[in-house]
Amino acid sequence: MPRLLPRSILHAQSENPLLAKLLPTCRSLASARNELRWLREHAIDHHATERSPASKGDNNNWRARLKELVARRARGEPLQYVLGTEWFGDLELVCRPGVLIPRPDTATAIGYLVQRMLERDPHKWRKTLRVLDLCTGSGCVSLFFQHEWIRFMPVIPEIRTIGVDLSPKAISLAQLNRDRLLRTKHEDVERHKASQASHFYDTAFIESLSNTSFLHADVLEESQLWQKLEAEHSLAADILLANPPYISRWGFQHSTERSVRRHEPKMALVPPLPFSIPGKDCPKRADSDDLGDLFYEPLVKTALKSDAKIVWFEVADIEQAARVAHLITSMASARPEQLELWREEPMPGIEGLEGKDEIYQGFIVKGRGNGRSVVWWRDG
Amino acid sequence: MSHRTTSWIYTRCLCRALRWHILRFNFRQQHYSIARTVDQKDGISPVLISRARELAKEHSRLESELSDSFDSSTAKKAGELGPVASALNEWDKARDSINELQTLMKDSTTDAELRELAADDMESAVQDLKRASASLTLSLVPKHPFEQLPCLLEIRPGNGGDEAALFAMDMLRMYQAYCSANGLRTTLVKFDTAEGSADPNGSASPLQVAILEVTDEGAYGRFRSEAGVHRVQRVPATETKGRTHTSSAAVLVLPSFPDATNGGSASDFEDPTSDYYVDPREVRVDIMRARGAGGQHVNTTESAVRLVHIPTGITVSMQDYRSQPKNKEAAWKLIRSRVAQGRREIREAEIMQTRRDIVGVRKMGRENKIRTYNYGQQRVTDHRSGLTLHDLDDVIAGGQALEKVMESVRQWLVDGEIQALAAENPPNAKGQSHI
Repeated sequence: MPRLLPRSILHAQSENPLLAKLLPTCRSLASARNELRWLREHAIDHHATERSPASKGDNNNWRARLKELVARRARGEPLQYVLGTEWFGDLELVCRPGVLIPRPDTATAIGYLVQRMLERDPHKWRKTLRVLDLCTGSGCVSLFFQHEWIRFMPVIPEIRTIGVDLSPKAISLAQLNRDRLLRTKHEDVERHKASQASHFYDTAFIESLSNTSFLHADVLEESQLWQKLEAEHSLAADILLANPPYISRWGFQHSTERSVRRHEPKMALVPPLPFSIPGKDCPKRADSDDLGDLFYEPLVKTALKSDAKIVWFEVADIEQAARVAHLITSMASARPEQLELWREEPMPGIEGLEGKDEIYQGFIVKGRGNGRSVVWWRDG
Repeated sequence: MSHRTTSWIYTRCLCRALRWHILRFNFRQQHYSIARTVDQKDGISPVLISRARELAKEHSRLESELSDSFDSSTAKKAGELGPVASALNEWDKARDSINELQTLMKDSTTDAELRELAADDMESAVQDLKRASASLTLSLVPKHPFEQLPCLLEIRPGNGGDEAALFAMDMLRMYQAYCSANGLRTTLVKFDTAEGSADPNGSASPLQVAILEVTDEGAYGRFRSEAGVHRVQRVPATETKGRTHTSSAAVLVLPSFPDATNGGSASDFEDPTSDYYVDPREVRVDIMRARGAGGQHVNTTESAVRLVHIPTGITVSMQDYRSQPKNKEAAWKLIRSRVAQGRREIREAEIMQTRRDIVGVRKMGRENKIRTYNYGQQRVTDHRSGLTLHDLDDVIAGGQALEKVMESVRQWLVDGEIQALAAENPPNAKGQSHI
């Protein structure tokens, strides 16, 4: 974390006292300015919707509210919880304490996944497309995948999506997000009656959102999960997506931001220990039995069971990506060329890197940044 | 000593003034539009003819190319050269008929009756040639590259304090009235008084700058003549002793380029010949990634996007929105217009370079007084076209008189172009590029 210069603190103080309050959390003047602007917009909007005719013209209300919001943010509460929403690609999703905030890396990966499917075979799924999203959290992956598919794919089949999570809070938030999107899309349809192109997109999205459900189940207990899915007539899946908890205990202590550690649910970040080991709660270094890989074995089992053709997992770094890829090759006797390790920006750059993919431990690596996901093209 | 100096200056001034009048007189005597280029014998300067021939040859080459295989850019070029070719054709015809008539008249074997007929025809043939020459010259005049665009009129008070601000306000009203009389759509983009932005109808504080956008196509071509310093001579409303003041207002005319929000121009982005086209392969997209491990480890609010256009090094970063795709979209919009602006500047510089020596005086900037509005004499004089009208009220009201003045300047600009063309050396590649 870069040290804050006293000069920039003074500067912030003279510009706006609220800015100086945000500075220790935001770490840079530019981002503090942005956050203050967003907080102010939020305070004014909120005030405008709440304002009764009686209190009209009283604009000190929103200032008081802004102070409150800034104070919360200054205490390290994630901006997304303070504002109540986060943008995930083009979708604005509701965020609530107790459920992981969607990360931009995830949206980038999902967007690229759809892009790649479009390049490979855009006409592969014509009738139905069954999507299984495990560890769905806020529902972001489930919702964004359909959105991207409808936006870019030439053929729109009937998309049936199921999101699974262990946390009841997550399930209700995911349902809320789905219903909220449905409502705004219905409004959009009302508004854009004339415009044909967006109308087509909106109605398709409404249909696929109505075919989206969220299921309360434990992904680690795969046989129970399968039973529950079977009961929903939907164990079989074409696409399996998962962003499970993947941070190791060591990583949680050392490479995880304080704001994340303090405010976001640990169950969405760190997998439980497979069995309890006394004195292992805070290890000094990464141990072989604590790498944060716990979820991937049951996930691969579920992928095989559901016969998913395309599998995407988010991971912590390139080492974990390689471990997961090895796990897949050993468990499912997959060929290494069916697997790809993606970095944070998996899109090919423009500096002529195309055609020369990096190889890590025998697997193709795409893009720039930290290792972020593993993709298994079972049909490839 | 001092007396002698004064008288000397006096004579010199007198001489100058007289010479000016003589010149002006001569100028008026000349034929209006093509006077300075028309060679009495041939009707048109040989340089222009050879140039026209070259362009016509190019046109027929393009046409034959098109008959083999269609290509939209070739078609566009051919379409641009079409008027030159047809005008040259007309001119050739007119000249041939004159030649024919002349040989007929010179021929001693021709009988008298026929000769008389020929003499009758000769008159109309000369008229035809004149007309053909005029249209040929016009077809050769390069169109101003931005003539078809809407424009922005920026009006600022010049010298003269509050009176200048009052006059600037009058000018704004004049253009607004002119536009509404001519069915042009306008929007007042900016209206700032000394106290900041204000309401144009109810502001007591003096005007500092007003920007009027004329959104109709071709507005730039129409208003381009208005750029420069407009001088006013009158007894200001603020004057208590009845003295006449001279003050000024500056008008800047800028072409207004379509922006990305304008639905109609969206197709430009995909047209590689458009200024707005930016090849995505030439743009590096930098997304501000979270520091450290990323993913679930951090909870970033950084949504900034930076685009770098590699060939030009133009860099745009955008962090206004919380949503990264929105920032990206906005950044693309910006980089397109920046790249387009760069391209325009290069092209404009090229155009300027090729005509700097020729057009010279016709450059219009803030430093040149272009027009005088004299209230005492109810007179408006345009110093470029030399037109004087004693109908100030109608000019200030944006009526037909103003259109008359503007038209005289447009004609003056065309004259300048023609003069420049005639002075130019035989056509070169650069000269052709903006025809």
